[in-house]
Amino acid sequence: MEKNIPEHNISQILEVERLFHEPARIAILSLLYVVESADFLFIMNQTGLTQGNLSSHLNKLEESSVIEVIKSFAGKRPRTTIKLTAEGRLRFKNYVDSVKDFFGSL
Amino acid sequence: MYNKLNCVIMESKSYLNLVESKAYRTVFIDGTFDMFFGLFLTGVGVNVVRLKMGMDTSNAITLSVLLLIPIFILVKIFLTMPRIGYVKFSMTRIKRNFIALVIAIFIQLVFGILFLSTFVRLPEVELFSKVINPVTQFIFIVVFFSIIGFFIDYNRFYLIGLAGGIGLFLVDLVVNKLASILIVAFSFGFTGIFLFTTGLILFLRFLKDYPKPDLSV
Repeated sequence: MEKNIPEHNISQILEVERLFHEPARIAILSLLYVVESADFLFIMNQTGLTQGNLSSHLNKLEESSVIEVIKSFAGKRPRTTIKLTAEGRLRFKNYVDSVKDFFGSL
Repeated sequence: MYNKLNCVIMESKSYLNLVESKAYRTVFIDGTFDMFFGLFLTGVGVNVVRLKMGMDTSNAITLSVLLLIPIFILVKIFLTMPRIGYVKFSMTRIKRNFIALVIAIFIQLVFGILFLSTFVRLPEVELFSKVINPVTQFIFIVVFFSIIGFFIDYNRFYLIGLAGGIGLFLVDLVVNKLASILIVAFSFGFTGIFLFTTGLILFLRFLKDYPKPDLSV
Protein backbone atom coordinates (compact mmCIF):
# COMPACT_ATOMS: atom_id res chain seq x y z
CA MET A 1 0.00 0.00 0.00
CA GLU A 2 1.32 3.38 -0.96
CA LYS A 3 1.88 5.90 1.77
CA ASN A 4 0.16 9.28 1.31
CA ILE A 5 3.03 11.74 1.20
CA PRO A 6 2.03 15.43 0.99
CA GLU A 7 3.40 16.92 -2.16
CA HIS A 8 5.86 19.72 -1.66
CA ASN A 9 7.09 21.62 -4.67
CA ILE A 10 10.63 22.57 -3.76
CA SER A 11 11.04 24.72 -6.85
CA GLN A 12 8.24 26.98 -5.60
CA ILE A 13 10.77 29.03 -3.63
CA LEU A 14 12.66 29.82 -6.83
CA GLU A 15 9.69 31.75 -8.09
CA VAL A 16 9.60 34.36 -5.33
CA GLU A 17 10.50 37.88 -6.29
CA ARG A 18 14.28 38.14 -5.88
CA LEU A 19 14.16 41.89 -5.47
CA PHE A 20 12.31 41.46 -2.16
CA HIS A 21 14.29 38.46 -0.96
CA GLU A 22 16.82 40.47 1.02
CA PRO A 23 16.49 41.16 4.78
CA ALA A 24 17.05 44.91 4.59
CA ARG A 25 14.50 45.30 1.83
CA ILE A 26 11.99 43.13 3.71
CA ALA A 27 12.44 45.46 6.68
CA ILE A 28 11.92 48.58 4.54
CA LEU A 29 8.93 47.14 2.71
CA SER A 30 7.30 45.79 5.88
CA LEU A 31 7.41 49.27 7.35
CA LEU A 32 6.10 50.94 4.21
CA TYR A 33 3.38 48.29 3.94
CA VAL A 34 1.86 49.24 7.31
CA VAL A 35 2.09 53.03 7.04
CA GLU A 36 0.82 55.45 4.44
CA SER A 37 4.23 57.05 3.86
CA ALA A 38 7.40 57.84 5.79
CA ASP A 39 10.43 60.01 5.27
CA PHE A 40 14.00 58.81 4.86
CA LEU A 41 14.96 59.55 8.48
CA PHE A 42 12.01 57.66 9.92
CA ILE A 43 12.78 54.56 7.85
CA MET A 44 16.44 54.81 8.81
CA ASN A 45 15.58 54.97 12.53
CA GLN A 46 13.06 52.16 12.36
CA THR A 47 15.15 49.73 10.33
CA GLY A 48 18.53 50.54 11.82
CA LEU A 49 20.10 50.78 8.35
CA THR A 50 22.84 53.28 7.58
CA GLN A 51 22.20 56.25 5.31
CA GLY A 52 24.18 54.82 2.39
CA ASN A 53 22.73 51.34 2.74
CA LEU A 54 19.16 52.59 2.91
CA SER A 55 19.73 54.94 0.01
CA SER A 56 21.01 52.16 -2.24
CA HIS A 57 18.09 49.84 -1.37
CA LEU A 58 15.59 52.62 -1.97
CA ASN A 59 17.14 53.33 -5.38
CA LYS A 60 16.73 49.70 -6.40
CA LEU A 61 13.14 49.62 -5.19
CA GLU A 62 12.35 52.89 -6.95
CA GLU A 63 13.84 51.67 -10.23
CA SER A 64 11.52 48.67 -10.05
CA SER A 65 8.48 50.90 -9.42
CA VAL A 66 7.89 49.29 -6.03
CA ILE A 67 8.17 52.59 -4.17
CA GLU A 68 7.59 56.20 -4.99
CA VAL A 69 10.07 58.81 -3.76
CA ILE A 70 8.64 62.29 -3.32
CA LYS A 71 11.03 65.20 -2.81
CA SER A 72 9.53 68.21 -1.10
CA PHE A 73 10.30 70.93 1.41
CA ALA A 74 9.15 71.19 5.03
CA GLY A 75 9.75 74.87 5.59
CA LYS A 76 13.30 75.39 4.37
CA ARG A 77 14.38 71.81 4.95
CA PRO A 78 14.20 69.27 2.13
CA ARG A 79 12.13 66.20 2.87
CA THR A 80 12.22 62.86 1.05
CA THR A 81 8.97 61.00 1.51
CA ILE A 82 8.70 57.38 0.48
CA LYS A 83 5.58 55.35 -0.12
CA LEU A 84 4.71 52.00 -1.64
CA THR A 85 3.12 52.16 -5.05
CA ALA A 86 -0.12 50.21 -5.58
CA GLU A 87 1.84 47.77 -7.70
CA GLY A 88 4.58 47.50 -5.06
CA ARG A 89 2.02 46.80 -2.36
CA LEU A 90 0.51 43.98 -4.38
CA ARG A 91 3.89 42.53 -5.28
CA PHE A 92 5.06 42.57 -1.67
CA LYS A 93 1.84 40.90 -0.53
CA ASN A 94 2.32 38.20 -3.16
CA TYR A 95 5.91 37.74 -2.02
CA VAL A 96 4.89 37.35 1.64
CA ASP A 97 2.13 34.90 0.67
CA SER A 98 4.54 32.83 -1.44
CA VAL A 99 7.16 32.62 1.31
CA LYS A 100 4.49 31.80 3.85
CA ASP A 101 3.06 29.08 1.63
CA PHE A 102 6.45 27.58 0.99
CA PHE A 103 7.61 27.43 4.61
CA GLY A 104 4.15 26.58 5.84
CA SER A 105 4.11 23.43 3.76
CA LEU A 106 7.59 22.30 4.80
CA MET B 1 15.18 44.83 13.12
CA TYR B 2 15.77 42.45 10.25
CA ASN B 3 17.73 39.95 12.37
CA LYS B 4 14.48 38.55 13.67
CA LEU B 5 12.83 38.39 10.28
CA ASN B 6 13.48 34.73 9.61
CA CYS B 7 11.76 33.74 12.83
CA VAL B 8 8.68 35.84 12.39
CA ILE B 9 8.10 36.02 8.65
CA MET B 10 5.93 32.93 8.91
CA GLU B 11 3.45 34.80 11.03
CA SER B 12 3.44 37.72 8.65
CA LYS B 13 0.23 39.32 9.91
CA SER B 14 1.35 39.50 13.52
CA TYR B 15 4.84 40.51 12.37
CA LEU B 16 3.40 43.38 10.33
CA ASN B 17 1.24 44.34 13.30
CA LEU B 18 4.37 44.50 15.42
CA VAL B 19 6.12 46.66 12.84
CA GLU B 20 3.13 49.02 12.75
CA SER B 21 2.86 49.11 16.52
CA LYS B 22 6.59 49.86 16.90
CA ALA B 23 6.32 52.64 14.32
CA TYR B 24 3.25 54.08 16.05
CA ARG B 25 4.87 54.08 19.48
CA THR B 26 7.41 56.61 18.24
CA VAL B 27 4.63 59.13 18.90
CA PHE B 28 5.32 58.65 22.62
CA ILE B 29 9.08 58.16 22.46
CA ASP B 30 9.97 61.77 23.30
CA GLY B 31 8.05 61.83 26.60
CA THR B 32 6.04 64.96 25.71
CA PHE B 33 2.75 63.09 26.14
CA ASP B 34 3.78 62.05 29.63
CA MET B 35 4.85 65.57 30.55
CA PHE B 36 1.61 67.01 29.17
CA PHE B 37 -0.67 64.55 30.98
CA GLY B 38 1.44 64.81 34.12
CA LEU B 39 0.86 68.56 34.22
CA PHE B 40 -2.79 68.07 33.32
CA LEU B 41 -3.33 65.59 36.15
CA THR B 42 -1.51 67.83 38.63
CA GLY B 43 -3.65 70.76 37.48
CA VAL B 44 -6.85 68.76 38.04
CA GLY B 45 -5.58 67.74 41.48
CA VAL B 46 -4.84 71.35 42.46
CA ASN B 47 -8.32 72.35 41.32
CA VAL B 48 -9.99 69.58 43.36
CA VAL B 49 -7.93 70.53 46.45
CA ARG B 50 -8.95 74.18 46.03
CA LEU B 51 -12.57 73.08 45.73
CA LYS B 52 -12.31 70.97 48.88
CA MET B 53 -10.75 73.88 50.73
CA GLY B 54 -13.61 76.11 49.69
CA MET B 55 -11.35 78.25 47.54
CA ASP B 56 -12.12 79.81 44.21
CA THR B 57 -11.91 77.14 41.51
CA SER B 58 -11.48 79.48 38.62
CA ASN B 59 -10.34 77.96 35.40
CA ALA B 60 -6.88 79.49 35.68
CA ILE B 61 -5.20 76.12 36.09
CA THR B 62 -7.22 74.43 33.36
CA LEU B 63 -6.52 77.34 31.05
CA SER B 64 -2.80 77.28 31.76
CA VAL B 65 -2.79 73.55 31.01
CA LEU B 66 -4.66 74.23 27.77
CA LEU B 67 -1.99 76.79 26.91
CA LEU B 68 0.49 73.94 27.01
CA ILE B 69 -1.11 72.41 23.91
CA PRO B 70 0.56 74.86 21.45
CA ILE B 71 3.88 74.34 23.26
CA PHE B 72 3.38 70.60 22.97
CA ILE B 73 2.72 70.92 19.22
CA LEU B 74 5.74 73.21 18.69
CA VAL B 75 8.02 70.76 20.52
CA LYS B 76 6.74 67.97 18.27
CA ILE B 77 7.38 70.01 15.12
CA PHE B 78 10.73 71.59 15.95
CA LEU B 79 12.38 69.07 18.27
CA THR B 80 10.85 65.65 17.78
CA MET B 81 10.16 65.42 14.06
CA PRO B 82 13.62 66.54 12.87
CA ARG B 83 15.09 63.79 15.07
CA ILE B 84 12.87 60.77 14.40
CA GLY B 85 11.51 61.69 11.02
CA TYR B 86 8.07 62.10 9.59
CA VAL B 87 5.51 59.35 9.15
CA LYS B 88 1.95 59.32 7.97
CA PHE B 89 0.04 56.42 9.49
CA SER B 90 -2.37 54.23 7.57
CA MET B 91 -6.10 54.80 7.46
CA THR B 92 -6.50 51.66 9.61
CA ARG B 93 -4.60 53.37 12.45
CA ILE B 94 -6.47 56.64 12.01
CA LYS B 95 -9.79 54.75 12.04
CA ARG B 96 -8.68 52.82 15.12
CA ASN B 97 -7.98 56.04 17.01
CA PHE B 98 -11.26 57.55 15.83
CA ILE B 99 -13.19 54.46 16.94
CA ALA B 100 -11.51 54.74 20.37
CA LEU B 101 -12.71 58.29 20.70
CA VAL B 102 -16.25 57.44 19.57
CA ILE B 103 -16.51 54.46 21.96
CA ALA B 104 -15.09 56.51 24.85
CA ILE B 105 -17.53 59.36 24.20
CA PHE B 106 -20.44 56.90 23.80
CA ILE B 107 -19.66 55.23 27.13
CA GLN B 108 -19.36 58.62 28.79
CA LEU B 109 -22.75 59.63 27.39
CA VAL B 110 -24.38 56.41 28.60
CA PHE B 111 -22.85 56.86 32.05
CA GLY B 112 -23.76 60.52 32.04
CA ILE B 113 -27.40 59.77 31.25
CA LEU B 114 -27.54 57.00 33.88
CA PHE B 115 -25.86 59.27 36.41
CA LEU B 116 -28.13 62.24 35.76
CA SER B 117 -31.30 60.15 35.70
CA THR B 118 -30.35 58.66 39.08
CA PHE B 119 -29.48 62.09 40.42
CA VAL B 120 -32.84 63.51 39.38
CA ARG B 121 -34.73 60.66 41.01
CA LEU B 122 -32.60 60.19 44.11
CA PRO B 123 -31.02 63.50 45.04
CA GLU B 124 -31.52 63.13 48.79
CA VAL B 125 -30.90 59.43 49.11
CA GLU B 126 -27.79 58.67 51.11
CA LEU B 127 -27.05 55.67 48.94
CA PHE B 128 -26.53 58.04 46.03
CA SER B 129 -23.91 60.25 47.61
CA LYS B 130 -22.25 57.42 49.51
CA VAL B 131 -22.12 54.70 46.89
CA ILE B 132 -23.49 55.47 43.44
CA ASN B 133 -21.74 58.79 43.00
CA PRO B 134 -18.20 57.60 43.87
CA VAL B 135 -18.58 54.33 41.96
CA THR B 136 -19.91 56.09 38.87
CA GLN B 137 -17.08 58.60 38.95
CA PHE B 138 -14.55 55.81 39.33
CA ILE B 139 -15.96 53.87 36.35
CA PHE B 140 -16.25 57.11 34.37
CA ILE B 141 -12.56 57.89 34.60
CA VAL B 142 -11.13 54.35 34.47
CA VAL B 143 -13.21 53.23 31.48
CA PHE B 144 -12.61 56.45 29.55
CA PHE B 145 -8.82 56.42 29.86
CA SER B 146 -8.51 52.63 29.52
CA ILE B 147 -10.40 52.50 26.25
CA ILE B 148 -8.40 55.31 24.73
CA GLY B 149 -5.15 53.85 26.10
CA PHE B 150 -5.95 50.44 24.65
CA PHE B 151 -6.74 51.73 21.19
CA ILE B 152 -3.89 54.22 20.90
CA ASP B 153 -1.30 51.84 22.42
CA TYR B 154 -0.43 54.24 25.22
CA ASN B 155 -0.17 52.08 28.34
CA ARG B 156 0.29 54.92 30.79
CA PHE B 157 -3.33 55.96 30.18
CA TYR B 158 -4.32 52.98 32.37
CA LEU B 159 -2.30 54.51 35.20
CA ILE B 160 -3.83 57.95 34.63
CA GLY B 161 -7.34 56.43 34.60
CA LEU B 162 -6.76 54.31 37.67
CA ALA B 163 -5.12 57.10 39.68
CA GLY B 164 -7.81 59.60 38.76
CA GLY B 165 -10.62 57.07 39.34
CA ILE B 166 -9.37 55.96 42.76
CA GLY B 167 -8.81 59.59 43.73
CA LEU B 168 -12.33 60.69 42.87
CA PHE B 169 -13.79 57.51 44.41
CA LEU B 170 -12.04 57.97 47.77
CA VAL B 171 -12.57 61.73 47.93
CA ASP B 172 -16.32 61.23 47.89
CA LEU B 173 -16.17 58.56 50.57
CA VAL B 174 -14.19 60.39 53.22
CA VAL B 175 -15.78 63.13 55.29
CA ASN B 176 -12.60 64.45 56.83
CA LYS B 177 -11.35 67.45 54.86
CA LEU B 178 -7.67 66.87 55.54
CA ALA B 179 -7.96 63.21 54.56
CA SER B 180 -9.69 64.08 51.29
CA ILE B 181 -7.02 66.67 50.46
CA LEU B 182 -4.31 64.10 51.12
CA ILE B 183 -6.09 61.58 48.90
CA VAL B 184 -6.31 64.07 46.05
CA ALA B 185 -2.73 65.15 46.55
CA PHE B 186 -1.62 61.54 46.41
CA SER B 187 -3.81 60.25 43.58
CA PHE B 188 -3.59 63.27 41.28
CA GLY B 189 -0.52 65.11 42.48
CA PHE B 190 1.71 62.10 42.97
CA THR B 191 0.65 60.45 39.71
CA GLY B 192 0.91 63.76 37.85
CA ILE B 193 4.39 64.47 39.16
CA PHE B 194 5.42 60.87 38.50
CA LEU B 195 4.19 61.11 34.90
CA PHE B 196 5.82 64.49 34.39
CA THR B 197 9.14 63.24 35.77
CA THR B 198 8.95 60.11 33.61
CA GLY B 199 8.24 62.32 30.60
CA LEU B 200 11.11 64.65 31.40
CA ILE B 201 13.55 61.74 31.74
CA LEU B 202 12.27 60.26 28.46
CA PHE B 203 12.60 63.67 26.80
CA LEU B 204 16.20 64.19 27.93
CA ARG B 205 17.07 60.63 26.94
CA PHE B 206 15.39 61.19 23.60
CA LEU B 207 17.45 64.34 22.93
CA LYS B 208 20.61 62.37 23.77
CA ASP B 209 19.73 59.23 21.78
CA TYR B 210 18.37 61.04 18.75
CA PRO B 211 20.67 63.90 17.80
CA LYS B 212 19.60 66.06 14.89
CA PRO B 213 20.99 64.18 11.90
CA ASP B 214 22.71 65.78 8.95
CA LEU B 215 21.15 63.95 6.07
CA SER B 216 22.30 64.58 2.55
CA VAL B 217 19.25 63.05 0.89
